[in-house]
Amino acid sequence: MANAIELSGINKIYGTAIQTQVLFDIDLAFEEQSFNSIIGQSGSGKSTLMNIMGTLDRPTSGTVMIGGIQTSNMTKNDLAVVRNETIGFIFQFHYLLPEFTALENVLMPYLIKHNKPTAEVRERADELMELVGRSKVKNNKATEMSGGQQQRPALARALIMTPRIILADAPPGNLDSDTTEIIYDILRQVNGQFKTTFIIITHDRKIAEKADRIVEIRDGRISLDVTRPMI
Amino acid sequence: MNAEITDYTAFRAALEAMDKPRCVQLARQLLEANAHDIVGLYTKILAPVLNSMTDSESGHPAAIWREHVRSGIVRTVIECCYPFVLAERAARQTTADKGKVVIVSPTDEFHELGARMGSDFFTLQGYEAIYVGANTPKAELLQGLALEKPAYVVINAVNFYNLFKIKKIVAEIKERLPGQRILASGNAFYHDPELFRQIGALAVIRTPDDIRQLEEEHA
Repeated sequence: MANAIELSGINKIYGTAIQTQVLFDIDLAFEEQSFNSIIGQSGSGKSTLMNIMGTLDRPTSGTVMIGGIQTSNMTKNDLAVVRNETIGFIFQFHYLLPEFTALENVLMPYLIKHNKPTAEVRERADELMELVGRSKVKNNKATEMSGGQQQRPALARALIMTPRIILADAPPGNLDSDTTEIIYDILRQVNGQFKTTFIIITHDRKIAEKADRIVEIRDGRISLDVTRPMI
Repeated sequence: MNAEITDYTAFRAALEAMDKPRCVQLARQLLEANAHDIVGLYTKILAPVLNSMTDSESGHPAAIWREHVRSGIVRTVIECCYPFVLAERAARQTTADKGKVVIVSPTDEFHELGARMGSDFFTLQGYEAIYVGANTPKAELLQGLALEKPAYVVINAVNFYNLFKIKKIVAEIKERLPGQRILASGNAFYHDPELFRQIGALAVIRTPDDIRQLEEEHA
């Protein structure tokens, strides 16, 4: 299987006068269609790593390949196109736009590119709301939903452009365990159904241990990288 | 029909029916009749039967319930075999002077049948096996090792998430008890031959042959 994301020799240093290095020579690749988690303590560098994988941030040195395409020399606009068409993001905090309904939020990545949704895209948005179990509240504004309820439209929004890759920064323990299980099951279903590559940054053991591969980041380096044994 | 296949089939049928008395009876009969030794019973019947049933029932709504009940039955069978373990060791004229071996699983690791079988392999090899069991807190493990001063500590993992925990435990044992020899065991290790090194262990133990090889290499 080809690599969905490939990082080579990634270093990240913040600051100029006083420099803080948060990532050190990271070589890491994730296969297409795989389901992975990245774990590590706060400050280990895992969120920086996710931002670099998602081209939201640039490494100080090293290369990032997305779907076999080198991103180092791309302009900001080109990177925005790659992100919008290839990568779906699920952030720790859902960032649903409060003035729009859940369904409008789901359609937002499409609207950014096309202004008006086609009937087909609307249908897909409805299907995704069904998939995440939020059909009944699709016309509610984000402000009319709890934090946990907003997480699922955020997932549907990440899927609307049929991304090949989902990067998720899992909420740090603010969802109850049943909700966490439900969201995990949806992610797995999407992985199986749409062959989407998942890379989930998490503190939650229940999520991490269900991935097929777990990478631990410690002090900006890969501490351990293990795959689930086949039974 | 091959006798081994017959034994396997009979034990599988009893375990499938969750018939604990029958399972214990069959295991004892096989050992008493010398149809199998302990290693043969564990590796050719108990472990493969349990694994095959776990695989074949993975989609069943009561799969976990059944797996737990059957694991409990197999555990009873293993405990009932202990007199045979001692008899077999005596017959081998193996003197128990190779030192102690502590066998543990870290916190949140609840799969322990493989580790429990492994403790009997160490007993057969002439070690004093101290089986501590599943879900052992790190602090208690460190205290126990300081107290017992074993020749080896074997740390077991089936859930691969626990490898991260074991790596930290190994680092702490090495820091607090320099020279303590640390071994790895369990399904989380077996698919990758380099994994035990990555977590800092001396070797990975799966079979009695691995114990013998360890002795040769570290004599």
